[in-house]
Amino acid sequence: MEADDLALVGRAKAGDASAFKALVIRYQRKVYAVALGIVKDTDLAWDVSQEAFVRVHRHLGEFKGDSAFSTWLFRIGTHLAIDAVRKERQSQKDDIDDLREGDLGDAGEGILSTSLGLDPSENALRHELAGKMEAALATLPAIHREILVLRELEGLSYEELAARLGIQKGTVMSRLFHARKKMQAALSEYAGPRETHGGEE
Amino acid sequence: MAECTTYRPMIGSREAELTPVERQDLAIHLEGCPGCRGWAARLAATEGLVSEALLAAAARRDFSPFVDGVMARIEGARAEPFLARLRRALRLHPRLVVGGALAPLVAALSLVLYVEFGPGAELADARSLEVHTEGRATTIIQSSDGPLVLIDDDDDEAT
Amino acid sequence: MTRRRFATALAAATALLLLPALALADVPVRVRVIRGSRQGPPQVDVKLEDLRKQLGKLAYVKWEQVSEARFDMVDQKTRFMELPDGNHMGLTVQEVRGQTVTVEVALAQQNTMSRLTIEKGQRIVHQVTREKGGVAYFVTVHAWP
Repeated sequence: MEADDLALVGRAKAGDASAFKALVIRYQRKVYAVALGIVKDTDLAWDVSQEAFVRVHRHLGEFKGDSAFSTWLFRIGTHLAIDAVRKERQSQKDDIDDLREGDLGDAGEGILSTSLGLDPSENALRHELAGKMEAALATLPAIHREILVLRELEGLSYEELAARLGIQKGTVMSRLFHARKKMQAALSEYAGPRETHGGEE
Repeated sequence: MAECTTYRPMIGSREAELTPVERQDLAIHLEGCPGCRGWAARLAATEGLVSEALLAAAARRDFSPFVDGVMARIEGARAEPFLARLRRALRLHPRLVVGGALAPLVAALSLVLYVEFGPGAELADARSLEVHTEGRATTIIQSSDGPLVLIDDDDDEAT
Repeated sequence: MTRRRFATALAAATALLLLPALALADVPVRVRVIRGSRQGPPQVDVKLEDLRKQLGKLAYVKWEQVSEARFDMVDQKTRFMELPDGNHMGLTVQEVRGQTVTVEVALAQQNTMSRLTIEKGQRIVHQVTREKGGVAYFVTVHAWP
């Protein structure tokens, strides 16, 4: 895939519009998915993801192939998505990255692992939870949505996350922990009632 | 419990993300901490759900107009040839906030004159003075002190 | 291109691509929200004296400064600002070349996006609200004030 991307980029740089369109079609859904996870709003995600490709097109001449094309594209996309929600960040007062003992308490998330069982891939509840995930993700503060999406959808490592977000590795880990804890709590609301009916599939 | 604040954020890390010492210490901690083992189980149970959910949302959406929309934005961002811009200015500005009917022509000519003869004339690229709108017309007035950009009124206010 | 120049260019491009957290080009800007009115005795707020000549090209006769902000803009990072009518404006530095800067002014509510290049010493004056009752608001952007 990567070699194929480079071939298309080369042709796009030379002015081949169909090559550029091929790159757009190849990555449009994933770029949109990343944007959606961060900005929450479907129309804004559409706008941000289109703009990401416009920016890529504008700077194609600068792409030298030192990183994968997709890495470059997603970096631009997340950059735009994070900028788009920058307003929201100002209103967050409880985005503390430090981890305290009080943060370790089980806020009902234990229900999730009980309900989902040990083989997630065959669990009907998992499919249902995936459907609720978008709504659950939207309840998180912007900085937690961002880091979860970058980690889980783009697959960035701690080091890459630290570089992308301009934070230390330790902060990456604690912020991820907080993000996951909030996500688990949000999802457990959907899993909760099932346990009273003898929860496991 | 105090140790958990150190180890719990490590749970969910990938192979090379912890040092060998950290990984060993985490393993030892997990052996003796049911709370952290429970957290690890919860993470494992929901692994991949975020990705799955967002990709499913993307799969549900109709992307047939997406690439055309991208190409249209790219085309819109490119500089129009001067004459096309002049025609657009004359067509879209039946009412002007400032000046009379000649203002867009004057403004367009000012753009040309400014680029050709004014300060910074080495910036011969007309895109440097580009103003484009999607759906709303604007008027540009150029001056040696910098550009002034005016937003046109609503169409329904036109006489 | 010589090998050395290519290596330098490659290193520069790599730095640009791989270190997004670093400011590629911090541009200090001064942004003012100003109010123009067609009514009242002709008057220009003393704080806007530097804009008198530029504003004189417009039909508004009375000018007042509403607010002012100074900050550093980072290349490609959009800064959102609230406008007097409750909407928001997005400001983005698109390109910096020596003493010139290209700025994008985005007004979602007005369906307008402007891309303007100015030199040091110049200012952008951009209408940001529609005229109502002879009054309109503008934003001025001054790079390297």
